[in-house]
Amino acid sequence: MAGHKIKLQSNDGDIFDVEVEIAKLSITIKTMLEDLSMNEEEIIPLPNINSAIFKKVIQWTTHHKDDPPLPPEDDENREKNTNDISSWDQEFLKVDQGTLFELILAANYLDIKGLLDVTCTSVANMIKGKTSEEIRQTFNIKNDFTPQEEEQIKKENEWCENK
Amino acid sequence: MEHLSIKLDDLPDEILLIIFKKLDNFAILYSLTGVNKRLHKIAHDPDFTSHLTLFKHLKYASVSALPDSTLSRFCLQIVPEIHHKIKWLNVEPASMEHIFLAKNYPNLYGLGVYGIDVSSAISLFTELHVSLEYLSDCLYFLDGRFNALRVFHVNVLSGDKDPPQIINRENLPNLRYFSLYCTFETVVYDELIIPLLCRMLNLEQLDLDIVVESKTTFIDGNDLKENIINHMSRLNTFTFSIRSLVDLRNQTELRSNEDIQHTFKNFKYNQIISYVDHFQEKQYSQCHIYSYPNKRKYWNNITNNFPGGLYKYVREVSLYDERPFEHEYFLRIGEAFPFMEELTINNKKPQMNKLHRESKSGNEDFSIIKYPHLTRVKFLAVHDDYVEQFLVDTTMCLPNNVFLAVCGQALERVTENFTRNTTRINCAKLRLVYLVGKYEITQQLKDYFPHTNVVRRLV
Repeated sequence: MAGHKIKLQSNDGDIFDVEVEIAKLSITIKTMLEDLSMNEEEIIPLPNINSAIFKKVIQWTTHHKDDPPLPPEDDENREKNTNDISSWDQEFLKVDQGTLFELILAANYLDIKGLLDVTCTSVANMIKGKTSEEIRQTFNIKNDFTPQEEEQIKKENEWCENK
Repeated sequence: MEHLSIKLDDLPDEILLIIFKKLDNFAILYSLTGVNKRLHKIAHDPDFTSHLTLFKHLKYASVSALPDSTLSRFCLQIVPEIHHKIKWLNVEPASMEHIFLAKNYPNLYGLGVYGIDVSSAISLFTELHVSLEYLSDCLYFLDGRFNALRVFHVNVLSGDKDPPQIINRENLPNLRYFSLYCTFETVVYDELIIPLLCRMLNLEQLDLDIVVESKTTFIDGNDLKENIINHMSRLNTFTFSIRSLVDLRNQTELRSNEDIQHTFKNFKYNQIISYVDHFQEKQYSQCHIYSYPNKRKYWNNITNNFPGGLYKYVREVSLYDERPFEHEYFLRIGEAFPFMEELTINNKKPQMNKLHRESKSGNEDFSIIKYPHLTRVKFLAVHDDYVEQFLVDTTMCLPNNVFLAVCGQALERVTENFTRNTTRINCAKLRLVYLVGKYEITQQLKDYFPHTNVVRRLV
């Protein structure tokens, strides 16, 4: 029934009234409602998502509620095209890295394939073409290889070569 | 300053894999190799290293080389770490030389060359070194698709398979050098190898290393002249090692080594050595003919009739006979193969001169045998005398860290239930002992081999 709403609660206590059809873009919520026969009057807790992120998720699902379902991905023949993010999504994803990664975790937890896909593509675009040093700088990653370990890798390679 | 609550490196592996699979394998390796231990390990997973495309796709299906700096980093820093994992490479002409000179790709089985027309691509391949599962697989390489090939080296890893039926078998006038190594016995010498060689009209150099199971007769000098040399007017270097095996029951008369040597009279290539054995128990005959000097790395089924010589390239040796190997024979083996690393012995006959050796009587040379480079000794079906020959310190001085595979019961008998003093020194030098067959490892055995890893192996 269009316009019918359910209540979803983020892990910091905020309650959101969300249209069922929009909420059901999340396979996790859809499963709760359909398979677990949860009462639509009940407040459904989302223990892994805070309200700021959940607001973004609702914003994304509301915009994409009429999208056709994504085709299943063939791992062998998948197109490695990372340039096909729509302009709306590009604008939507102009967020700091922490928010982007939390969106990925939320999309994964809620099982929203389209959101997971576009957020991961966005991160992939940030990786593409960068050297390892640029990756460390971009993503604030510490190089935890010791000089001895780097030497060891070289030796192992030589060993493989002599096999 | 911006606070990053979650970082890329905090994401679980399953999420990182979803992200990385959005990129092509080259981009993953280029950007993530060496970032930190975790990302380095994920990037080097076989999922991302087995198939690589090393060029940029442009519009209308055209391609272009990667930028020089990108390619250089890839070839210098990344390829040395993953070259053994690469199974398929897609390359384009401008950068392929750089890529192939960076390293060997020992497990490569597929190569895509893009941005080039077929005839130009084929003309690139003038020299090929391939390892093939079956001998008949080499027919595919010589069916016309590599007609610019001048040098072709084939190493066959397994035995025979029925040759393919529909295949172009035209002559190969451009081929100048062909080598074929196959340690497994083949039954298709007449059906496959000879017709293949006859297509190589202009061959200048030929190297054959094969074991042929023949129906009625040994392969000798006449056979080589008639079936191979007479078809190759430009052949100037012919090296070979051919061991032919014939069922004793199929032979009307048993040929001697003199008969074989006679067929090499006036042979214009190197010196040819041969030896012949007729094994009555196993009901087959063996004739080994080979050019000398010889650069083979392995030498199989060496009998008492082996005439010796010096074979400094040989690393693996196996000995077999239905007559005993005496002490003098092992001295001869050491002289012939000074850099031998692996030795397999297969002989059930007791030694005849063992008593002379123990009493130091007779004229035989009983000096202590030393195989300084030996790392592995395998006793297959052997009489205890040969285990004793290798373990008693008055006959053999083993180098350190040798690996030994031996029947447990034989080891127990030779070491007199793990108490014998004259076998202690050599046993202490063993790094690893495989006890072949059913055998319980007792405390007494462990005490006798305090620093050796002793493992049971049923095979």
